[in-house]
Amino acid sequence: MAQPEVMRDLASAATSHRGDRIFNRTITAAAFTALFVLAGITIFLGLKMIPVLQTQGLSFLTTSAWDSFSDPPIYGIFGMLYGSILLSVIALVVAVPVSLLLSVFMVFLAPRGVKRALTNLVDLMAAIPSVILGLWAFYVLQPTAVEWQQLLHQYLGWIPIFQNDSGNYIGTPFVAGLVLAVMMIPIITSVTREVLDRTPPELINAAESLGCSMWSMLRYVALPYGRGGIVGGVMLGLGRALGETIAVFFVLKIVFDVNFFRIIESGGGSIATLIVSKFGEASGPEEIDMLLAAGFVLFMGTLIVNVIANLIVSRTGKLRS
Amino acid sequence: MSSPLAGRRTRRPGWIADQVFRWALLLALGIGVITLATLLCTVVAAGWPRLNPDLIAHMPSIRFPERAGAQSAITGTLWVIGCTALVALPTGILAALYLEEFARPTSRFQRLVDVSIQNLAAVPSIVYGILGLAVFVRALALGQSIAAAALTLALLVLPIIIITTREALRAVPRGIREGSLALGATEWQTAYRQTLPAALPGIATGVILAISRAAGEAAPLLLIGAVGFIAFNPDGLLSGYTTLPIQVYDWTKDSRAEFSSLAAAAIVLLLILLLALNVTASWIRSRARRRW
Repeated sequence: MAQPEVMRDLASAATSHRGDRIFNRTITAAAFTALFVLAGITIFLGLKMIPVLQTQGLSFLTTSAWDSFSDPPIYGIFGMLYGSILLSVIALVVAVPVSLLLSVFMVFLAPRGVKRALTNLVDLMAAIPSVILGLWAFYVLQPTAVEWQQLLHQYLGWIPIFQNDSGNYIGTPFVAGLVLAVMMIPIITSVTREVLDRTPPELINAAESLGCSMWSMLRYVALPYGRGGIVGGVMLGLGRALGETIAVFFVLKIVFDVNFFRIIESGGGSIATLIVSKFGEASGPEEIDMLLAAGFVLFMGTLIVNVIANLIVSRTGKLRS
Repeated sequence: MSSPLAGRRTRRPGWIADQVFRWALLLALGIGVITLATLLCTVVAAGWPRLNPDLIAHMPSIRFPERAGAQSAITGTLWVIGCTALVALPTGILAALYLEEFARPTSRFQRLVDVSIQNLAAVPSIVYGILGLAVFVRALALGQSIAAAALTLALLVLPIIIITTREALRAVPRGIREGSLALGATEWQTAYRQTLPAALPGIATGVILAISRAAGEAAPLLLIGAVGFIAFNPDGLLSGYTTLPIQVYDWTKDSRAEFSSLAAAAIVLLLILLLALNVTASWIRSRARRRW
């Protein structure tokens, strides 16, 4: 009974060399598209950078102005570049502790059922599109956050970053940073949870039998063990924050004067929001080239963040194995 | 607790830090849960009056906000997502198959591909938007069409599909492949009949998550010309279109109150779609756990 089947399979194996070759070529081609796309993006945006450097020079990166009607037109993204970094820092300051604590709770304290529920909840948070988060931030978070910012100004106003002279608390980097934090929390939490889950149980048991409290077990066992993965997760979240567009666009008042540190003062910027806000009203191909160049700067920024993240993660991986 | 010994034992070194830490944990949990809960509650409450069949049955309307619906956005989303999947799925899965099954894992080229895919997955969506505008809309003259949107979104989700598919393939034990090859199957037959079917649940999960990411994306589509007001269903690849996120974005720019509740209703619709996709993904994942 089995004989004819084997024979048929052998026969098909013998005749399908051509099929194999076609298959091989197809998937090789498919694999090359990925590399091709990355190279394509880099080269394309890089080429667009040349005319920008020719007309604007390095002042494209160091000045902060965007005026297509002046003669000659001035384009400089320093404020936006700085704004992207400022927003990311605010988001990190909020998101990192919350995500770390959340994942510690899920891994070491929560009962099985609660842990599964929370895992799903975090996945759910990650699935919410940024346009929805942005709207929610605009209608719900921002009005509430005005009061928080007034309190910050009232009680901590002596710290320079919490100064606000204008009394206008709408469209501040603080709120935009909070929105970014909400976007980063699920990313960082899910990576951190997986990393902490992999802490060898014998290490945890050893720490507990030595009388370590929860806190010291984390401090001396779990966190050092998972440090590489956690940093990688944070960088992943950072990459997301740097490039986020719509959600920030809803709640940040974009101004070109650089807002250096007054995070509860209205006005700020980020490269991604610059692109989306200027695209609709771009005056001509030159301005669009400038926006493409801004996109290239953003692209390089996220690329650097990711290369560093990968390096950290892979190095700790090597140390362990 | 009443004996002095017990009291001393609970106040061992680090007791305060431990308590503070526990409260901080619960606080973090509260922040996460409350954020999500207020988000869902406020959106559902705001959109409740417009959550009726008219939302699906009617076209958007500028002059009659009370009668406007989101039909063109729904069909547009389905078109765009469908075409995106059509482009990205075969390419992504085949690329992953090559990288995982056929490429030599130690070659320098292979490592270069690895790193670049990792990086592509992290490129901000707005950069894909710019790229789509310059390449698909302008250079290939596709204009503001479904084809341009689908190609742009396909680029966006391709790295995600490749990464998740590779992970799924990696989870298939070596023995299955070796057994198949030892019985005389060719590489193609092994991949097609053994490895791919075994990895299918994992691949499906990743693909669904990637598609749901594309369905919620607004920023790149804004650049490549999805328009907020489209009062017809798309009828082909070169047709104009709008999608749910874009429609939501557009409605919120209108100051009339009807439109903000309409936007909330559309958000609920979009969230239901995305949640359904996510629940399906995690259901597949939990069902298919470790059969070998």
